[in-house]
Amino acid sequence: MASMEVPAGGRASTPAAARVVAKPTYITWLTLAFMTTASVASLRSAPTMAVYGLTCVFLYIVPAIVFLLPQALVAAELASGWTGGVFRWVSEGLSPRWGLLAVWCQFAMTIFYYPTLLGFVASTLAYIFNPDLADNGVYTGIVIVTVFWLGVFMSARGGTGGIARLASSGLLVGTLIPGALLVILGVIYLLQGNASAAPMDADHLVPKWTGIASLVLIVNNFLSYSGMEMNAVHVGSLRNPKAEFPKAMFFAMGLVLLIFILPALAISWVIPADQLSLTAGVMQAFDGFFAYFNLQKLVPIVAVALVCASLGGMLTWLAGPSKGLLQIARREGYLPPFFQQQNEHEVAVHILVVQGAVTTVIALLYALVPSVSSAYWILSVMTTQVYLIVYLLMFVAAVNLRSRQPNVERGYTAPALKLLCVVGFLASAAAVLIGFVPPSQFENGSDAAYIGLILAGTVLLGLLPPWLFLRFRKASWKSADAEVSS
Amino acid sequence: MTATAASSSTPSTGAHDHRFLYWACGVVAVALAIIGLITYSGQKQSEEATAKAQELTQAFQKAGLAVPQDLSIITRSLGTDGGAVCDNPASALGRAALFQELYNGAAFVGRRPVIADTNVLKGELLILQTYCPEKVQQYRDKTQNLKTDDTIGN
Repeated sequence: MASMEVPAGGRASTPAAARVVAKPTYITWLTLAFMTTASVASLRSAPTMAVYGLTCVFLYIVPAIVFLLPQALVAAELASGWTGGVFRWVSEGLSPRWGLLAVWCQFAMTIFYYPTLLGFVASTLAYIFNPDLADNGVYTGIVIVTVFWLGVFMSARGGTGGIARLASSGLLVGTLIPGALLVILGVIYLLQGNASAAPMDADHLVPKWTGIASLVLIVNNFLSYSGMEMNAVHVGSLRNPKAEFPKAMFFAMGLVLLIFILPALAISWVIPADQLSLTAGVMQAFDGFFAYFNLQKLVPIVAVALVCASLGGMLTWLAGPSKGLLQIARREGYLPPFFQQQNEHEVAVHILVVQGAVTTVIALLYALVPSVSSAYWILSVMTTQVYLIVYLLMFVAAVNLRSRQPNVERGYTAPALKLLCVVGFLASAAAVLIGFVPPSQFENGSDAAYIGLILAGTVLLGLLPPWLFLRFRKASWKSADAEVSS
Repeated sequence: MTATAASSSTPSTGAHDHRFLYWACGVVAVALAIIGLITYSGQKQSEEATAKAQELTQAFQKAGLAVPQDLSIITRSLGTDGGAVCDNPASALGRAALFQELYNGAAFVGRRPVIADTNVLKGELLILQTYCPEKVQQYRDKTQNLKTDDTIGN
């Protein structure tokens, strides 16, 4: 089993004598599976996909075949052979420089993601307390900044074990229980003899082909499964990673599919697509759903549950990519010593704090400057483009590792790995290309300008920072005690 | 991953930290739920709410859109004033919220905008026309340039 020595205080950090490292916390494979599920799936998307009725099954299953399956199986093989997550796989399979690019892309895109996630948290809470607050920039800004820093604090104090338990609890309370409730109520609705609001016959399984709009819808849904590999960075917290990580991955894969598909279907049975009002956010759909059963008292409970699930997921995203970035920074000396600091829970506190400062500024702009909030969707496109770079690199690295390091013991060997990687790579590349097609929100302007904007954003966010780190790094930044061996 | 170089271990402190975090999170979640239960009243059913719901249903049928089998879904969720749908549908953050919903099926970092179905916005417009007509123009101004298509096809 691979092991990683915890530094006792390198050049960049506090003296060895002063360092106190908490006893390592092991997590079970089931907890890791819950963490993985919490990072990827929640009920937030259920109303959005409910508008497609039975077609949502197609919209989730096809991406599951071409993107989720390759991603999960490849990650299962890599994590059962190498600890450290995506930075380690790409470093070993391509080179440490590509490893830096991969983990940077995984980390950087989250900075722009948190404001929208927490903006959703703010509007969901406002829905039950005072809907007018949802349009109040000051309220939204305060919620985003407060909750984000609480998340940073919890990540720093909780370590992998604490985060794992909180994320698992968030999944259970915020997604699994309310999701099961939605499905049970949906089934009751049908058993009462009501006809489904959305047609449930075979003719409505495949989306209507309307050209590029359909392609955008189908291919962009590949990204629904983004993040399945992210928690592999915690594989070292399993007692038997080689056997347990694949198990966690397969279990998470099943859960994610169930969470995405069944609640969306249940909503589509009860509420016609055209009535799933979107201005008021997803809570309006849950409100309408529970209204039929005269159970609107459950609306605030579900709202709090959605918030718990969102925060549980956020915690995993705070803990995962920053840990990967810290590991490569210490191992290869790619980041200045300041960023290599970790606390007794092995959490990259300085990275988290700097990330928090940047996120705070972006979040306040999002909440308080109307032109920023209206145009924020463009950042979603850029960040997903940046994240897809991680997958492109991961699939190439997996093929290389199979041929170059065949003797590394793997707890799980993915069947037809090359085919999986080719399919996964092509799916990721297709999603990159589709990212250049202007969506609904792009109201005016030329397509060429849009393409240029997305391209520039992708380069600025994903490629430029790692290039600058490599360009200006110093030999002294390398932490001698951060050794990773397999 | 094993902490081989640890100079000293503090499992009890760590466990204490964790217990505090779990309890704090649990207490906050329960408190929010209780406050929500007290403050959230939903929409009351009344003759006026039923009349509005019938008006909306007719508007949906006229536009060729699907309507729910049970009118109470509309009365209890939209009431007499449209509920949250009519709360500043075209404000800056309201617009951002709408834009955030015209997305793919991802729940976390994979969220990305798509080309939305025309009827989704049309249904919204009919709700506004019925419950808060004074906000229709504002909503139209903010959404009329959105590019949509017939992606649902049902």
